[in-house]
Amino acid sequence: MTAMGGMRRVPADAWIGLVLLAVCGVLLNDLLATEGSGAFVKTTTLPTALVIVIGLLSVVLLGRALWHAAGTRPAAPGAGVDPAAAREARAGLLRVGAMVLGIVAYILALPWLGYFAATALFLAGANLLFGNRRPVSLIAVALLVPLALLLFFERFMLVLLPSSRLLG
Amino acid sequence: MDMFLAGLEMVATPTALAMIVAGLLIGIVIGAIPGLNVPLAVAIALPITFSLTPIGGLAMLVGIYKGGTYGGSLSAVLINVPGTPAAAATALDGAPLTRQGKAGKALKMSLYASIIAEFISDIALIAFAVPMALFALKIGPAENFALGVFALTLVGVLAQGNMIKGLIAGTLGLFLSTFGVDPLTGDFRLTFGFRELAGGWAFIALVIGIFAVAEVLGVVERRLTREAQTGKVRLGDPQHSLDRDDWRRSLPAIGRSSAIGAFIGAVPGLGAAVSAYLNYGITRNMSRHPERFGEGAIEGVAAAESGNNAVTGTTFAPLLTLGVPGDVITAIMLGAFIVHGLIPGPLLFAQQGDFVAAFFIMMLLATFLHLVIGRLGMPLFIQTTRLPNAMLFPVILVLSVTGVYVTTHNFLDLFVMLGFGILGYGMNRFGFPIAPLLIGFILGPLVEVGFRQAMILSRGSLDIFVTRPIAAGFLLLALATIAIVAWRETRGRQVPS
Repeated sequence: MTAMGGMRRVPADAWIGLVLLAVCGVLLNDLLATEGSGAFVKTTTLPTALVIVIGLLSVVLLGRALWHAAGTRPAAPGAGVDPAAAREARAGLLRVGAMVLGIVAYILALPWLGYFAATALFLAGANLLFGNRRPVSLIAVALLVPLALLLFFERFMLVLLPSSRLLG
Repeated sequence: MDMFLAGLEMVATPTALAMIVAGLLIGIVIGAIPGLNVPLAVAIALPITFSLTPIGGLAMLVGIYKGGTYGGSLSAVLINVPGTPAAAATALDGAPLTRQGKAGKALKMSLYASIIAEFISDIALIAFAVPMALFALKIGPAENFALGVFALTLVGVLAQGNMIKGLIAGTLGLFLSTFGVDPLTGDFRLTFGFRELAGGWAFIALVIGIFAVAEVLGVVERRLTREAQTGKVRLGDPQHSLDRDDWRRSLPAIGRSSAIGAFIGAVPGLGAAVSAYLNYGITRNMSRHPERFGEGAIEGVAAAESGNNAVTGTTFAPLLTLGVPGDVITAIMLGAFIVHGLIPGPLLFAQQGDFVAAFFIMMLLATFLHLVIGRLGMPLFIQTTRLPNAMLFPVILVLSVTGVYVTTHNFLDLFVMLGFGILGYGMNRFGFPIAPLLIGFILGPLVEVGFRQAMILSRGSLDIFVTRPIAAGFLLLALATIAIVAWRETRGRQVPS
């Protein structure tokens, strides 16, 4: 598993270790600036200790990844990479990105379009992203699922779902 | 005997039976939907029970409780999305079994393990309610801390073979549990100036995010790798049936987990999630083949589910005998008792003996009806495996968003859910186990509050953890677990695979 091209690739674990270390630095800074109170054990004692432990484990992760990388021969540029697999991997990541954006859009749309419309639109889009190209099943899922959920929650469970600010 | 007959007369009415069935059906549906939880369903059903007889009303609430505790395992097994936090332990081996085309096996074991555990828990409640409740009261902050530490050693068990990443995940889970207002002093910590973070991370958003959303993101990346089953799925097919070997592996786990779970149920504040993970970890640790766990070990499903459901009977022990509700659900049910003029506590047994007998009979009857309904519904539940990904996973996302929203009514928690979903997806992608993170998050408050309260009680002396026998016992068990894990890890490195 590698994360970057070059003469000797830096393993993904090393990048993760570095990112974790940076995050730990920010968190430790915040915790040390917080004035903790409490008898014998302060408010910030446990979180501070945990951040230090995560930081130490990250150093081990980073060191181990670099140690393994140093022990392996650097691959020739492009060697062992299947272009079709690389394309599929990129397409997979793009689909993940699109799905994340879709969920963000869905959450943002909920208060404006209301539960039914926002959910129907999201379901239609997500079905397309998953490769459903059959219009009948796509429309049926997009309309029936939010309708059933709306009735279940609002009529049976008596729990209100978001209503539309735009449509009233 | 007179009390038993009088109790039987109170329970053997069409209303009481109908209420148990209705409660079980509602509970199973609610439990199976990610985000919807049993306390919510019990709270909503509470006003309905006011117009019923006391035993009829409580029958419905008990049905919801038992059904909901089991229902979470259905979605955990079938779509790797636990309906309840406790069912996350069931997903660890249940979902791989479904991927191997053995969903029926996992569903059957899940149901039977749940029923056996419920039955043992009911019997423990009936036979030992008073001593259990009195013993549970001896569990103080020091014991809670020690039990939490023992349970935390399971992080090491679950991380075997990938120790550093497992420990990072477990510590991260503990750390995430410390966000928000300090439960002891009321001070703010790690809120970064955001008022919304004062309550910490919403548990439901975290669970649904790292399981459901992460699963969907993983599937959308690979796109349609899960082949939907064509044709009707039959539970009688060999791959869906439990054989003698499955039972041989699972029965010891069920017996042990039921006993431990029944004890955990009687201790206020612990609950089903702690029991499910603790028993899963113990079973894996005791197994001669721990490497099978996480790959579809049937005894993993058995341990998690029996641990989960074994709390459902004994959780009533402190409520009935001392009037002390052990969790949110029994606290809501306390309201139902009071509305009907029943005051739980020692006097309940003396003054309302018939009602107590009826309650015990109703618990056993609910367990039996749970078996019937669960078994009848199974052929229907398993048809989920026929749904294609393109339809199923968008619906899971919608259910996730809806479930988190109806629980917290906070749009920010939907983004928190998404954030944890991305974190879970990244953890899956880069080989970090998710279960330790969840265990750390569940146990964090128990360990921290227990430790700090114990330190206050002992005026800063650590002696409290070794002078109190129960606490010392749990800490010794923790040390033994660490020794076993370390030995296995070392041996694993020495034996070439």
